[in-house]
Amino acid sequence: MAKIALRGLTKRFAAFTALNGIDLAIEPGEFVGLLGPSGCGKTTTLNIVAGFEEPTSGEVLLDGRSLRGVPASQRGMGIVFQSYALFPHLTVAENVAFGLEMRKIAKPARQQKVKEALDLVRLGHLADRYPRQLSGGQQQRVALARALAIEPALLLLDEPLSNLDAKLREEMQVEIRAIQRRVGTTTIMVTHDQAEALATCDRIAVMDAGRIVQLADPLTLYDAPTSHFAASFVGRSSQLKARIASVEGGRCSILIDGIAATVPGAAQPSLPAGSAVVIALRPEKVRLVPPKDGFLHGRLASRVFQGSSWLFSVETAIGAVLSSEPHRGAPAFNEGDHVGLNWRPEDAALIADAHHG
Amino acid sequence: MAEASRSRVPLLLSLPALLFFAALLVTPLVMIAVLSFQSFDLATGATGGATLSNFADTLGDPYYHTIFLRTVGIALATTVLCVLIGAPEAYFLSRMRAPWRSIFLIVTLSPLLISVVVRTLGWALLFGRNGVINNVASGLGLTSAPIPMLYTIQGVVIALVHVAVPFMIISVWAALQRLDPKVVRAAQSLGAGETTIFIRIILPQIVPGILSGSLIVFALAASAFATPAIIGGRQLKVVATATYDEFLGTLNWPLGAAIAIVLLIVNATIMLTYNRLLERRYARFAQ
Amino acid sequence: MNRNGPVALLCHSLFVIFMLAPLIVVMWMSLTPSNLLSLPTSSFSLRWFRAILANPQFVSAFWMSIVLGVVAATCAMALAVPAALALARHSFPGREALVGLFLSPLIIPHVVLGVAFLRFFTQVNITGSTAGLLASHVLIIFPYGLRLVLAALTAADPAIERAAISLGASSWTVFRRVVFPLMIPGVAGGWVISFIQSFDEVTMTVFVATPSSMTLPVKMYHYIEESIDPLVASVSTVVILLTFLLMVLVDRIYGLDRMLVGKG
Repeated sequence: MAKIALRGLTKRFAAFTALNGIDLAIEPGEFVGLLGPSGCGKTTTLNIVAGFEEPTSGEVLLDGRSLRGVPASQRGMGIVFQSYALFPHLTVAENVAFGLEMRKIAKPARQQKVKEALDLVRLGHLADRYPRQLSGGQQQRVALARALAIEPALLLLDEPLSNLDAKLREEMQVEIRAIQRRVGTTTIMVTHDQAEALATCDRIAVMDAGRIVQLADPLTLYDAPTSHFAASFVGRSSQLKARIASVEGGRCSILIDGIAATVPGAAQPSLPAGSAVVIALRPEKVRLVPPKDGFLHGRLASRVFQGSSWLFSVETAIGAVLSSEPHRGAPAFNEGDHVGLNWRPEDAALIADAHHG
Repeated sequence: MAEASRSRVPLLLSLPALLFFAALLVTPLVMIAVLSFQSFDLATGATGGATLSNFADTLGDPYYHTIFLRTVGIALATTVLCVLIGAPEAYFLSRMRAPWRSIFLIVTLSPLLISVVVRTLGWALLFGRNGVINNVASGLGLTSAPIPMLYTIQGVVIALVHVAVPFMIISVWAALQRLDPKVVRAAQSLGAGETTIFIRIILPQIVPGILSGSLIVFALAASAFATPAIIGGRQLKVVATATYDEFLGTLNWPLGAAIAIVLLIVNATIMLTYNRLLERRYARFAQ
Repeated sequence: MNRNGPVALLCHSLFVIFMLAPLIVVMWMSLTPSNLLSLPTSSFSLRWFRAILANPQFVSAFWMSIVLGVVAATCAMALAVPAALALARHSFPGREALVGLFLSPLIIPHVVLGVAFLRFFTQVNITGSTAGLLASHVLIIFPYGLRLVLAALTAADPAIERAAISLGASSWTVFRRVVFPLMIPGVAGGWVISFIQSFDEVTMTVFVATPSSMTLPVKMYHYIEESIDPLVASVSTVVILLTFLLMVLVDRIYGLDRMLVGKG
């Protein structure tokens, strides 16, 4: 049975619909990310699960029981807020102990649990400090310890890393993931940062305009986005309009609009010959080759050195295509060269084109 | 060269105000301090020389003792009432929705901008033997004889609360604005109910606001003049009205100056120690 | 969730009544047709407002307070604006002490200032002069104006001045085109609040005002000391209405709630 299930969650405000039928089932111990731009409804979803907002319709089931009408203070969810929301007048230990006090846990047991929670986030030595005396990363860990100390049914993370600088953020991604694995608490994380979601989550729900547009594990989401939105929001990709010419076995041949170039792609059973598609190509899967060896060709418009890799942008007759390759010395092509583009058929994601269906 | 001229700019800009303050604030205060050490003669007025007799009179005479104690008592009672009334009201205001919040903020604070004499007149009209409150009470059959309110300490305290409570609201409001609204949600998610949240989370964080508000209210009430003069009448003298009488009634200026200096010193001492305490106690988490 | 319960709303209503009751009683009383202090219920009259015009002492005290407020507020802002520029735009040794000095009239009891001015004016022999009264008012209203101008200046991002300089503006142009427009609301709001403080002041003024330089609140105070009659209620009503007009003005140019509770 799912640990937590969202059934047809809808939230309407006077003028607009924030959530439009969210269905999501999360297994025990799973770490699920809600990923999307601001205004996509991810925070509203989190607030409804936490009990801070009531859905217009639909419901939230925890261990199969509906949470309708259960106040936030009775839901037992551990929440880490974007601003951390630590109690500034209480010490680190008092912050962590607060939820245990509310549960009327006797003092000796409470102190033991506070110690365990602080050791878990490696802050045992700062127990008597006040939040203001801590760095951003330390405050973040106190917030995590406070949420975990109550042994929550569910851990909710609301953009937990967005106030940290880039380097610390990457460290904390690893640490949060490791802590979650160790304690095994089912977790939902709201984020607008696709790299953060890919790095930490078991599964990611990509949200757009109040709906989940794709729910998949990070690898599938990255390699096989099923929508134009998912392909452009997660990672970088070049998207080309095309039409399926014929389907044979595991392969189909694609006719790219305007020019008669026929390129191979992995077939999708749902897309018959003749349907309009978009092919999404990840830059690192597109190779720059001499013109005669390419499925497509064009002019190398720019060549950007990015440290560990090079990023090329090629102007083709049907639009710009990005390609990247690891840095192993100066690339073979210069800006202005005529080049070919090549990729393995299975690396091109085919997306049904809603606009030209 | 550029450095030197740049460092002269702030001096030149603030010089007019600085000279004005030196002439109109520092000089008169020094003069009044000097005056408080001069002896007084009924026939010739203030005479030179240095004496501590004015301070001895002010601090030793039971008559002035009563006045100082009464003043402190009135100020303390006003402060306690302002805390009990103003702090919850500020909290209620902060929980109101968009248009009502500013409307009631203005309604409750704008009496600040209306002359104290006018506001005190209002209380005098309400409090009199044949005033509005007594008329309504006897009209409703609640009282048989008029309740004395004008010329009583209670009356003075009520009118002073009216004058001073907006400052308490402003102070507590400022503390409430500094609060991260998410801490309320954090406490909820950890299992705290409404009352627990107010007592354990909100209240401790607005204590600095309540304390600094108390300081302003106490200072204001301890040195109030028009309200105790009109509501308290001639019998219930406080420090400010006693000073006025020494200066413009009995014309014993050195004694009046000594009373004023004591008031100033007491006020400044309370402010500074209180501030020091506030800083020591709350610096750890105050913004 | 974020709303007040019935008990809170009841307390709030009682508080609003408490704050407004004395003002409403004064205005109500001023409409009485009778010679007695009784709230009119059946018939109302403006006779006590006409009676103000027949009382030259109140009329001259009123104009005295208006002129004093306008001139004092203008002088105070003329001193406060440069001082605020110095304090907001420069850091220099003694800056904190200077701020403390400039704001000190707020914490010195006005009765102490009153006796100090009385002594000072007697010593320099300008007792009862309008100049002395004006100077004393400029001093006590100075901090109010200074605070609003300072708030307006410190709220602005200092980078926009550097942006103007980088675009080729001279210091004078930066002041005229960037700094000055930004502080106009603070200056205008500061002027009005200074005027109101001067117009309302009684505790200090009662020591330095003489029959030849009598302000309205002091005149009213002396009048009430003798007797309370509907005439002083009608004068008070005029003061309340005038203050209300000024509040609307402040609200338009600066934001009344912003001025009352600081940045809100």
